Amino acid sequence: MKSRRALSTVVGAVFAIIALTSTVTYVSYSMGILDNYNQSVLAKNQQLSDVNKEMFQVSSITVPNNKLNITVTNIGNIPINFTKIWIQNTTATDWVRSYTTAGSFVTAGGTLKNIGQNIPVYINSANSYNVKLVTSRGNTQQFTVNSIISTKLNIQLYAFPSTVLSGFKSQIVLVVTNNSTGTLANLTPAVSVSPTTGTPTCTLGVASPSKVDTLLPGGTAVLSWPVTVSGSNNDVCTATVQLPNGQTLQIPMTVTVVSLSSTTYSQSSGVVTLDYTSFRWTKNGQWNSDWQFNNGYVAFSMTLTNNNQTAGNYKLWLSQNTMLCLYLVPPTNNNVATTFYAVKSVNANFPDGSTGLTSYSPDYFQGIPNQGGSSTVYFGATGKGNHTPVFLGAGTYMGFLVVYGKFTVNSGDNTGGNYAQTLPFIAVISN
Amino acid sequence: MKRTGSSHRGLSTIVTAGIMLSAVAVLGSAVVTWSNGNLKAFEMALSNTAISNTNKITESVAIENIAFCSNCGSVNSKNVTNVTLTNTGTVSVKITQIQLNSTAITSYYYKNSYSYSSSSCPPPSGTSTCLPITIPPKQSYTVSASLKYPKTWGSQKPDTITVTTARGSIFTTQAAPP
Repeated sequence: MKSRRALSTVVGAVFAIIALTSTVTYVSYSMGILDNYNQSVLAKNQQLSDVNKEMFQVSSITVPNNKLNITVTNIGNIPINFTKIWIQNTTATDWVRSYTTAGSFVTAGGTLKNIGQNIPVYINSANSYNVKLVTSRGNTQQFTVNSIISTKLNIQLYAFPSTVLSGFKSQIVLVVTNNSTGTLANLTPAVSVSPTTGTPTCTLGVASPSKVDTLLPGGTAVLSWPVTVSGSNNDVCTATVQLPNGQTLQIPMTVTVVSLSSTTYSQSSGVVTLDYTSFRWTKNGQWNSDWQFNNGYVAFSMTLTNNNQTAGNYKLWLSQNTMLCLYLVPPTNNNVATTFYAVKSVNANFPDGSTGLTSYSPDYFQGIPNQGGSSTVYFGATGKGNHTPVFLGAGTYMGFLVVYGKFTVNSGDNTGGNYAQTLPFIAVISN
Repeated sequence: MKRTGSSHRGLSTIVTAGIMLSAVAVLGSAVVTWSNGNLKAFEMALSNTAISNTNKITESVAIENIAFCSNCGSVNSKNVTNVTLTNTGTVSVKITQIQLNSTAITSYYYKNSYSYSSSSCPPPSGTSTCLPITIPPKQSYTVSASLKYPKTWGSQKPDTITVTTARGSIFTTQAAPP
């Protein structure tokens, strides 16, 4: 009986071993398969994750020498390999090219420059292009390089200032905003200036910058030109700016000339003004226009203008107190003014003490008409209303006129207002 | 002569034991063989399914560029769309169907001088129905899908391009004709 039990045990054990071996083999194989499948799923997930992580930005597009120069920034956190660039000339029909971009590899956060410089495509500024960059993971990014010829732009033209002093410069400023969806290339405006009112001289300066290579969508470019204008008051120079797409803008620049208006002259410069070019001195009846003479008796003449704008035949009647005061410079102790009172006239036999001067008498003898009237006034007496000549010692003098008078129609009237004013900027040298 | 009963019992026992052993051996072998066969079949099925699914997962196609061609079929026919496909995966991909706006393309145009013409898919020029094409890993391939006259690709509105592979993967993109 023992031997029979042993035989059946052996047979059962053999079958059991076979069954177990088969089962273990199958399970192991299944697990291996599942492991491979799992690895594939993980790898696919990683690949998709990398595709999603891959991010880049076209940061600059320029077209130097009619060749594309694209700068791309890797804004993701994995390296990017650009494998291909597609260029489609959308102005032409069925013009599509693709080129491999060997070595276009950029690390995370890095910048890749000069994409497009090595491909045999020359950008014609008259055409528009679609450009697409393709990465090794299959991501693409497309942008447009539009021809400015076919794109209407938001442009504004200014002149700073628009009213220009004759002989000075104004600055023409062109502001161009790319309101299209594509990048613009070779923005080169044509500018001219010409007189449109009067005959001013309009001179256009050098542009800064002369052109804009590329203008990204939404971007704004500012170009400016100096313009020198000169001419008469209210002459107008007009600047004309034309873009390659035909858009034209004009801006006028009005010439203005600095002058004091007669109506406001009394406010700006004084009621009584002195024509400094009319200054004369005499020692012997011969009038001289310079400011230097030998010491001794001397008399002066000057032309005064009455800028009072009050109408009604009013005049400024000068008082006998009107005088020219001269002080030594540099100042000395007890520096007393040498005064030359107004006289009616300085005669040819000046400085004769009795007849060389004609006394300013009666008072308010000389009247200067309102509203711009002028009159020559003589100075040379030692006191008001007399004809004694003044001896001016040697020295360097500065001085001023002291004008007294009244605004009336007639010399003897007492209805007008009295007036007094000083007039500076006089200097003489008595050797 | 005296017969002994033990010798009869011994013979029958041996015979019986032999028969039982034979039966067990035969049945056992049959069961083991059958089960091994089944396991092998399961292994094969599992292996095929796993490989198929793994390859399907692994295959990746990027529709790299869509170019709407006005004159690729005939002058101003506007019925040819050049679809550039890039195999970004690690296994070869067989393209079996291309659809344009859910219309299966059955006609593919090839032009001998065109840079994106097929060289592996005859004829060298003219209209062809030659799909499928196989794209090796990291390679690109441009297929000129031609709509049947008088159909044309739309203008200024998005067209949907769908690419189907032999493993059943579907890749889709949209592009707008000029």
